[in-house]
Amino acid sequence: MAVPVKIDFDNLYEIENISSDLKFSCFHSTLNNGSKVPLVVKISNQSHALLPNVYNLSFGPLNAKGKIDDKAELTHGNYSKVFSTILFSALAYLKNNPDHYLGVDGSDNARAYFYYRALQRNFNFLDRHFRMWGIKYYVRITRFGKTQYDNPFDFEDIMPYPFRITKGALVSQDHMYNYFIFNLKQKP
Amino acid sequence: MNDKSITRKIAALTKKAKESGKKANVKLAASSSLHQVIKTKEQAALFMKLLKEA
Repeated sequence: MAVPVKIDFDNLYEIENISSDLKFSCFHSTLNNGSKVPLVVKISNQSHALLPNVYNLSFGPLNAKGKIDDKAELTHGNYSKVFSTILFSALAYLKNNPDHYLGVDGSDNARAYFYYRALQRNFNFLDRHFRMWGIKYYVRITRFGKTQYDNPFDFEDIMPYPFRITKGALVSQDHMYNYFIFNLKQKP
Repeated sequence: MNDKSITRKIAALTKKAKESGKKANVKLAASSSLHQVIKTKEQAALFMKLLKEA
């Protein structure tokens, strides 16, 4: 996916199918080989009990079980149009739910890095509409000292730490954020 | 694209959504990595505090 993405809300696929609460939308992307594939944008129905107003957003083609396959490898003919449409769906949802936050999983480092680069490339445009954070997960070290512990890390004790994303901030692929959150910059 | 044009497009999409009458059957909350790592109220409260201050 080493393609430059330009987010532009004038360059959108038609959203053909949408639920009344804007949590489900579907459009067709044209692939490089000319075929069309339906892409779905889903926002979770419920926020987590401990994180009110944080909703998970996922997107991609549906697998045979009707679930989003966020690891599918498709070669889109127009990545800019695909991501513009996804972000426009998210913006429309947030305009209707101005107190909500939307979160996107990086899925893997390469994909998270791709999202981050696209975000930076389009920072001026996106910053007009969204506040954006990158989240890193830190694991507790149980003990320091001369003794070499077999397992000094407590992987049950993880601290998610949010960083506000600013223009031009460099983050290497190896230290990429685990999760991205965004919400509406200007509430109506 | 100016903000008025975006506002118009959002209004049109919202209208289409309301008129569709379709319900979204989506249950993704527990599947995100963030929701998996936050396990206590205290952790969640601290995270939201940090998020709002960042």
